[in-house]
Amino acid sequence: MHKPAARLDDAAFKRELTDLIPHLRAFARSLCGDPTLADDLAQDAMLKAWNARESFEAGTNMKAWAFTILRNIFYSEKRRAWRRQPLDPEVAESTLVSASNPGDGLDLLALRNALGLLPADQREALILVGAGGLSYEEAAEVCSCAVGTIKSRVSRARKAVTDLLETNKTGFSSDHGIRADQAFDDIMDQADHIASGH
Amino acid sequence: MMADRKPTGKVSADPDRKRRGDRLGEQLRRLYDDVTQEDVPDDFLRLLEEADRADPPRASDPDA
Repeated sequence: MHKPAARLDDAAFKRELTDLIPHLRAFARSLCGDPTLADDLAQDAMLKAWNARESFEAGTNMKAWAFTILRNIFYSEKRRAWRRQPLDPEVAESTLVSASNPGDGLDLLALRNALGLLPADQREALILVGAGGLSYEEAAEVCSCAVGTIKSRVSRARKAVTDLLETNKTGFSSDHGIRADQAFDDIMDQADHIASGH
Repeated sequence: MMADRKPTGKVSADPDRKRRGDRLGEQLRRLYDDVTQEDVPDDFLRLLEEADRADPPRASDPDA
């Protein structure tokens, strides 16, 4: 039971961590909004992960492990600039509106704005499970809470975003006659489906 | 585990519902993937290389 955990050698660890950099950047962006500050956070997390590589157990999910490190930095270093950055709609717009298909960008902007109004714990739960590809169990590990708590946060996030999109009459309800509350029920079915494939 | 609790046909039982879920799920993932598909800034790889070079061999490494 207490046999030493298998470890990756440094080269293998570095390869796997390098492959995760885009995900660290995406998770950081969802936490702090501003792209420059998010990259600062993601770099910090990458270096802390590298320095903590001896504690990583080979064969476990490095994404969940590294996300835990990133999230701990975000919430523990309260004086860092990224904590003071609200999600900025103008930044979001410049980030998301694609030149080739601006309509897509506006849809995403509506969703992003709705996400930005959620309590942080609900937003991160929805991002981790619905976009980041983590299982409920892995998301619970990242957020240091029970699996049931993650499910509850995702459920509340779903309802809150639904209400926001319905109120604004933007995004999903505008073009394809989609009712956001139904759509969010669907996405969680889909998240379950994705999670079950792990 | 999730799959065990749910008949496999549930998600596709209502085609409209599935289509809406596909669209919304796709958009949530695109918010995320818009970032993952960006080129990684050079700073990241440079910092990781520097950290690798600066580190002494691990004390616990039996081969060190």
